[in-house]
Amino acid sequence: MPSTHRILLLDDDVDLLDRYRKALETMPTRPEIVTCTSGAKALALLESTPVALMVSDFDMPGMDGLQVFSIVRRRFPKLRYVVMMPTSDPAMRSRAYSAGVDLVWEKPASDEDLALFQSCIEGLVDNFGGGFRGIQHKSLVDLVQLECLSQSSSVLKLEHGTNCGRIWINGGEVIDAEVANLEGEPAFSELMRWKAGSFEMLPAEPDRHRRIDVSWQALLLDSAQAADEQLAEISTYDAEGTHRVTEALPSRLSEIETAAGVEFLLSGALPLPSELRAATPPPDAAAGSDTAVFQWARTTWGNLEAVGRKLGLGPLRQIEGIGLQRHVGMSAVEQNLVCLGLNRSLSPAEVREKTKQLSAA
Amino acid sequence: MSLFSKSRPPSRQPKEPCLKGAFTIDARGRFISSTVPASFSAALQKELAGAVLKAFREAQAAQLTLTELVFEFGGLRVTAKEMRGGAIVFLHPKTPESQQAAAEPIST
Repeated sequence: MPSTHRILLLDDDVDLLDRYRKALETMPTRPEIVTCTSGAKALALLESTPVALMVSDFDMPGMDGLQVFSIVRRRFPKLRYVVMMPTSDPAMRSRAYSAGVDLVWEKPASDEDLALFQSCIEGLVDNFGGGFRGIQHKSLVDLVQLECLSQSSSVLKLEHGTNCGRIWINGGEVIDAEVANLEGEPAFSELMRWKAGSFEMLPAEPDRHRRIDVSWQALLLDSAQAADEQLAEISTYDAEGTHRVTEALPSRLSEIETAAGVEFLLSGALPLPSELRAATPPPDAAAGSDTAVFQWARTTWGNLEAVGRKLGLGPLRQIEGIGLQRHVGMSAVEQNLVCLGLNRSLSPAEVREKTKQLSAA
Repeated sequence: MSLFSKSRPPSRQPKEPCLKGAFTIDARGRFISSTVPASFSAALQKELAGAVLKAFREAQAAQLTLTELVFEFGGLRVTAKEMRGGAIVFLHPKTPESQQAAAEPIST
C-alpha cells in the first residue's frame, strides 16, 4: 500500500476510532486506515510507517491534537494534518491554522456533514502529489509572478479583512483586476498594497474583457515603485526605547496619524522577553515625554503578552487605555509596536475602533 | 447522527476552564474579592493582577493617568478599572456569541 493512501487516525476513544475507520474506508480511493489512541503511539508508528494524512482529535489526555502536530510538523513535514474540533470555536480554529494545520474540521453531526468531511479527506489524499503549503509566507507579488511565469490562466480571489478583490490572469498575462470601485491598473496597484490576507485560485475566465494592456513585469515594477513612494516618515524608537530615530513605515499609518482625534503616533520594535526586566523608563526620558509613554507602552505590551502566553489566552491583539488627559491604543503592526495617543473626547468605543485600524494597516 | 460525537462524562468535555468573572485587588496586589472559577489557579490570577497593577503604576509614572485598561487577547478580553491604586478586573471570554453581541449597536 503506497503511503499516499494511508491515513492515520488518532483519538483516545476506541469506539470513535472504529467509527472513523468505517466511515473513511468507504471512500472511493479505498485508503488503508491505521489507528492510534495516544499521541506518543502515533509518533512511534509514524517513525516506521509512511502515512499521507493524519486525522487527530483535538481534545485528548496528555498531548492534545496541536501538541502532537507541533512534533509531527517538525519530524514529518510532508504529512498532511487534520484536527477534529468538538466545537467551531473561531479562536481555536485560528490558532490551529496559524500553527500550520491543513484542515480544521468540526466533528460531523449529520449525514451531510459526514459526506462533506469524507470528500474533504478524499481531496487531501488525492492531491498528495504536490503543491506548496505555507503560502502565507509568500507575498502577493510572489503569487502573481508564479502564475505569470508558469503561463497559467486563473482568477486570484483575494481577501484582506472585509475587502475582497480579484486579479484575472490569462496565459501568463494579467488582463484585469477589480477591488471595491476600482478596476484595471488602479485596482491592481491597490491590491498590491495588501500585505496579508487569504487567496483562492478560481477557474480561468478566458472571455474576460481585457482592461490591463501592460506586461505583468511592468505592473509589478510600478507597484513596487508606488509602495516606495507611499512610505512615510513616522516617529520611531529603537529597541531600548531611548533614542528617537526616523524610520519609514507604511503610509496607512500616517493616514491614521492624521485622522481626527489622533494626537500622536509612536512606533518602535516589539519588546523582546529579555528586555522585560528593564521596566524603568530610560534616564533621558522625562515623565510625560513621548519617550516615556512609548517605553511604558513597550513594557506593558511585553508583560501582558508574557502573561497571556502563560495563561493560554491566545495572542495579544491590542491594548486600549482610557485616561484623564488622553487615551491610548496600541497594537502590533508587522514587527513593530504602534502606540496611538488619542484625544480624551473620544469614547471608549472610538478608542477601540481607532486601535483596530492599526492592526489593519 | 452522532457518528463522531463522543460519549464521555460531562466533566471531561470542557478541558480548558472558561475564564469568566471578575476580581478586585487592592494597591498591594491582595485579592479582596473574586468571582473567577476556582479552576483558574490563584497563582495565575495573581500573575494577571500583578501585570495589570504594574501597567497602571508605570503609566502614572510616565504621567499618563489611566482609569481603565482593556487587553484584547485571542480568547479573552480583560477590562481593568483603576480603583485608588487597586483595580477591579473583568474577564470576558471571547465566544462567537459574545463577539456578535459586541458588534451589535447599543441602543440607548
